[in-house]
Amino acid sequence: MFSQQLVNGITLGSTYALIAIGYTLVLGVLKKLNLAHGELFMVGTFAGIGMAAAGAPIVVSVGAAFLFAGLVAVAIERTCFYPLRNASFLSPMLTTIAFGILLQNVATQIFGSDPSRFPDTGRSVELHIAGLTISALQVAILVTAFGLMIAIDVLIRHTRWGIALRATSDDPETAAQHGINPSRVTITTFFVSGALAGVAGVLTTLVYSQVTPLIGIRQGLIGMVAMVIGGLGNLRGAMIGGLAVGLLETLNDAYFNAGYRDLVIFSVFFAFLVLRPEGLFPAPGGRS
Amino acid sequence: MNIYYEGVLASTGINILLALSAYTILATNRLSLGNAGFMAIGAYVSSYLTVNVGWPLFPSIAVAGAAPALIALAIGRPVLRLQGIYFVMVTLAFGEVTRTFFQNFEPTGGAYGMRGMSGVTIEMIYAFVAAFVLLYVAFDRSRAARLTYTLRDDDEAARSIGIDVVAVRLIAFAWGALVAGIAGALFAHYALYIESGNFNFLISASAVLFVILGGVQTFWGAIIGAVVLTLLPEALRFLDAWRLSAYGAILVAMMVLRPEGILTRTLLRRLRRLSPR
Amino acid sequence: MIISCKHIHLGSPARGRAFLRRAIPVFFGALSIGLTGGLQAQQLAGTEIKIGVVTPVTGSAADVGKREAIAAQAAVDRINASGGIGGVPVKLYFADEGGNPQEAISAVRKVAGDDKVLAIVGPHYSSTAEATFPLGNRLKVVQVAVASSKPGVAKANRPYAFRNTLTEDKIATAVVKAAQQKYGFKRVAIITDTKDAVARSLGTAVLPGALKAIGLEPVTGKDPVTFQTGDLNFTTQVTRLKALNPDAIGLGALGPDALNIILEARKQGMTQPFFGTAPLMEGNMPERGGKAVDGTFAGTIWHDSLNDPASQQFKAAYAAQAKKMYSSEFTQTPDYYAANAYDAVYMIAEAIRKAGVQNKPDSLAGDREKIMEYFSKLHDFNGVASRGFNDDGDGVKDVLIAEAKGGHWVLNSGPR
Repeated sequence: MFSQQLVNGITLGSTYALIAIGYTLVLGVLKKLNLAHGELFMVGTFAGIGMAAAGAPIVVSVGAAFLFAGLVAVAIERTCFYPLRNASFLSPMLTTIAFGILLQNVATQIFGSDPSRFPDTGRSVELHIAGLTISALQVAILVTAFGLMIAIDVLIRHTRWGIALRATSDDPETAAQHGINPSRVTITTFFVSGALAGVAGVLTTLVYSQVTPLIGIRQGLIGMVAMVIGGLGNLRGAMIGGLAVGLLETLNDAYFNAGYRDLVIFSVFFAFLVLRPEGLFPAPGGRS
Repeated sequence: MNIYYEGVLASTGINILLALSAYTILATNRLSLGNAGFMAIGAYVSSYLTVNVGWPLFPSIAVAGAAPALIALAIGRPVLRLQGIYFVMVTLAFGEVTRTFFQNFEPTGGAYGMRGMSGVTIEMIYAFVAAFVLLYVAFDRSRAARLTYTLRDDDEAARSIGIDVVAVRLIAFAWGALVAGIAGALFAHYALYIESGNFNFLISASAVLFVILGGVQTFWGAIIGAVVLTLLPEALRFLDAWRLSAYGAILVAMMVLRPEGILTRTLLRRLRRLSPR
Repeated sequence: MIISCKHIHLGSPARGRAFLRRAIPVFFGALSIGLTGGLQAQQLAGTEIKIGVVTPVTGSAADVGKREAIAAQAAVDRINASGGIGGVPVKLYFADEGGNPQEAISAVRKVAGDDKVLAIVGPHYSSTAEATFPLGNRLKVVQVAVASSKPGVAKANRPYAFRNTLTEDKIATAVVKAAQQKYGFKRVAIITDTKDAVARSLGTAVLPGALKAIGLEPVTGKDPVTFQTGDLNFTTQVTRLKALNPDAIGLGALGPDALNIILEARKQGMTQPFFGTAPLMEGNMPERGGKAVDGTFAGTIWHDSLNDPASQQFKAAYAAQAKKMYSSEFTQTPDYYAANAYDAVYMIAEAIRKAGVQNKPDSLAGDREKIMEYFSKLHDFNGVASRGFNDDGDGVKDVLIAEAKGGHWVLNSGPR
């Protein structure tokens, strides 16, 4: 049973990693928290479910979630961050909480508060490998999640956008002097951050279950925990942080009481912040 | 008095205390997103004392203030070393740990919640509000206030004029916890029933929103913010199912259009000019 | 098969005198209605009869709360179409309780204090009822909760708290018997919610109790498999269940979570049957889960497949009102909470008719007390799914066993 639970934990953790990466991207560029990030997970899920309900294939649903959650993230940037760019980090952060309340309630009006799910996930194909049961969907989630993580990693390290992002993150003024448009970098970063959360939403819902408009609250907090455990501002750290939280949650539920799950996760979160705020993998250059 | 207005007024009073609690910590340049945790400790400790132990109300409220203050002192040093978003996150973590603790802690009802509290009246809530407002007025005129407020801008400057930055911040943190704890005790004994979900992340966030939207310049801003934001969702009842969507939209608009809050520096200057010396 | 859960309470001798003191005016009241012939016995004062409806129309239970509001209005439409009560039309005063205790307190205060209603339908959740029931006693106004089924909530708040719902133990006993008859299981594993108070009590106390009544001890013992309301991921829990290799699984779960659990179990190759109680009937599990959930047993007190005359009238009135009030597709079909709300309005209307309510501004306190006294003796109500209240203030209802078959709940009894 233990190795099966490891597989479960890694699959779950890979969706958390996608959320944590989005958090980290925004934090890296702006040094500010987007507390409506969890809502992007929710918004993406509903966009995907909406497409599927209209008869679109799953790939289109994933694409719709990517696009729609990305666009909502840009809207958050334009509403909550850009007008308050000269204020302290507090004002945009609190504005995103208000924006989150808005998104949750509008989604409740549009999609209903009863849980929604994909129309028919169909009969799942199972793979049996060395006594483990892995569904084809679990494989799909792992492939997509890790594919996206590697893609982001490559983008950040080797493309002009990545260079601009890193430059803006390190020193926005110097970056601007070198002809990098910080506003454009911010917008694209938000788009990518939202898109990843949206895809995480569709993958999670496809593989596991159904969602309500309030699902983003916990997903956002868990993404934050993953980011901190991995190391603030470190993308690879965020990936590992996501996997770590997924495993922690799974092992708690497997061998302990699910009621204590969030108590355990947030205690670990608290302990990390107090004892090792730089996380497992501190960002290079001591950015924290 | 109409019992509906009485109830809204009672919530307003409790929210004023929560706003003061958030304001005090914010005045030392730290934003806490965990004050619902302190409120929960106050609510559960006082309820346990009155319901299970049979204590009278007032000593229970006193302990409800002292317990979170002691916990704040205990965790204060390592926690207050953190600043900026790190402090935001560590207090958020504290709030969630506290909430999930009470969700599982059977002696105070666990998931079933706690009932049997009573005795707090609207007059009592406002007696506490009045007492705290007087304390804040008195404090604001003291030298200690000017010293505290130097921490708002720059720790180095504060240190250079001989302020023990760590101690001042620790006291402010504990005081904020105390006020939140008393708010929790009053809430529990006025609402008559509590469960861990009453003290979620959004309560902590509201406490801070009261302060920011009211204006961070003086504690009056926090009070105005609490009053306005408690009345707003009630005033929006005519919108029925769209009520909370509108609430969220109005909050966003207020934050963006008036980032300095309702009581801005300019407004305060004008008010001061009007008031006779 | 209908298992009747009607309770007839004769009252203990110690309470006999109090019972008589309260019963005599009701007796004469009933007599006078009999003499003057029928329900329109007494002309009421005023231009409208005010009833409050406190349900969530925002937040996590918005859809359910909207359905309850629609059902209440549907009842009022029918009452007013036949001349109101004593010639006076009924008007509902709605207040959103958001599924949140603080909001619920404010909403009850609003309809009771500001709108001055005679009685209140609502609130919805047990946690909101916990907050507003003590308030109702203080304000001396009846509340009839329509979904709350956490044990003991009305009992702790006598005399003004009522719940037109059935506590889960009665349903569980019937469901466990029926499922055992079909499957002959011996080894039962239990999986339970740890967050929602109702589902938690189901998994930790109610289902084990019902199993014990037929001589079974769950293989999970005192340590059931656990999860939390609204979890997205049940792989871990199902892996645990699978390792236990039970004959059947008892669900201390709300419908949406139960569906996730069953689907995950089928994904992991488990074929065993599942059973649970009324909360399973929330969220259209068979329609959403299809073949995977076939054979799942649950119990309820009303379902929209029922076609007896009362249910037909209710469904027609509901459908007409749903289009006007909340037009989204999520609120077009009534659930059993909506039936409870519809019946609750009729119960309040009956009390107003029969208990000597005057509906004058200065008779409000007395009118509210009369409704409470009428409810405390209401054992023979004839509603869509309601028979009255027991001494704890909880509903008296018939239990229906439901089995998921071919994408629908199929009731094990014919139409009533």
